Amino acid sequence: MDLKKRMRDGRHGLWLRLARRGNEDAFRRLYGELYDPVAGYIAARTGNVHDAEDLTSAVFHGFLERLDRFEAGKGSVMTWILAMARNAVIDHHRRLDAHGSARRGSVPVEELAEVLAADHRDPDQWDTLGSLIRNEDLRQVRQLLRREPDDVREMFALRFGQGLRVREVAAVMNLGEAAVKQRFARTLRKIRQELLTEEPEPKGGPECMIAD
Amino acid sequence: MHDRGLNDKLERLHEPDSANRPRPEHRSELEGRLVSRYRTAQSRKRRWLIMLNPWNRTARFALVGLAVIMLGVGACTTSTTTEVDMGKKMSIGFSAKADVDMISIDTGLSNFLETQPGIENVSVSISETVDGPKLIEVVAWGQDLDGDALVAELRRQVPEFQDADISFETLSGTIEESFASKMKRQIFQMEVDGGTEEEIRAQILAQLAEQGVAEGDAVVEVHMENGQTEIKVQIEQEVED
Repeated sequence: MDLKKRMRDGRHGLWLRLARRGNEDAFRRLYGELYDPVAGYIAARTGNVHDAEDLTSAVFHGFLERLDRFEAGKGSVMTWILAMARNAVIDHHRRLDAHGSARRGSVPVEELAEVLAADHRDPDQWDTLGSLIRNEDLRQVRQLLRREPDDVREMFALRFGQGLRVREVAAVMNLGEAAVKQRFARTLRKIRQELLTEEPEPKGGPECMIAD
Repeated sequence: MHDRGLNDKLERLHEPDSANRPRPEHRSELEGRLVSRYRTAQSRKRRWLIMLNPWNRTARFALVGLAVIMLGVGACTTSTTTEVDMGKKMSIGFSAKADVDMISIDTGLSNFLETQPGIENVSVSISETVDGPKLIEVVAWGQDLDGDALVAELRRQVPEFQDADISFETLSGTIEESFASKMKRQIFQMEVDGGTEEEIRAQILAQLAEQGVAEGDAVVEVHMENGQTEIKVQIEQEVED
């Protein structure tokens, strides 16, 4: 898993450098591998296909304009473009909010935390959509996660939804790596304990014994 | 075991929601627009490097211009087809057991390729299997690159390649030359920083002069229109047999 990601990051770094030097094939390959993660990230945080397409396009146009500004020492290409996608989502929701409430000025990022956590859909729809949680185990984990602050849920969405490493999650959210690592560890420990506490009695244990 | 189970659940919880994803055709539509912008940006960005060599469009033009003039001067040779060395294709293999740090390799390889004189363009492909051998294929385009020296230098500069299995083959092509034996594919390299038509012309003439072309032997025309710059260079020189 880790080797695969390192290979991916190495490949992207190389393609980006070649794309800067005018290698169109490298640029196409890079786009081909970045499109799905970016579109998926944005789609989970926007309300409709139209907005998702517009934002995805805007992010890639920005990526192209800033091609020369990428600094390899500061993280992977994937982290870099997902940070752009995150900013695009923040700006998009600020615009929507300003338009909806007819007020000027920007909305603090903290107010958009739930959107960025990518878990803002109506929980009742999860089963109706039939595309996500279908079993009790997952439902428990989801419920436990939903009790966590929005920024922690965003960390989990980036880690488990986008497949980023802790260091990359920290880079995308502009937070310290140590702090992110600590919050992951604490939350995972808490979820594990809660799951153990809520774990039902083993099915059919005593009955089996009686049957025996 | 428990951790893996929890990780699996968390990954399943965050599986992408297909409801709001862009339409499948959006990917290719956007790619078309981006590539178009990329081409425009690259053509603007390029510091009009003019390489008068046989496989460069500008070069071919110059070659034709030169050929016509040379025929006027010499008029003694026939057209021939000549095979030329256009670059090297290197295959670099790492065994399955090798502890390969792809980030170091990527960085080392990129730095190496970027600093090698004579390489005009390059493409790299990496194939991998999780537990199997890893193969890197480098296609380096450039005139008469020394394959053995390139491999030796790569091993010297990038420690990760010291024990790798590296082989190379020459990429050859053919060109039509009217006076192959005379011209010896002389290369003039020029970089132009932009400016007005006259300023660009002056820059080119100055650089040609530095490379031994007298002002009277070169005709330089610069024409700007609709953001495009067309540069024509004709050189008239007698070359010894």
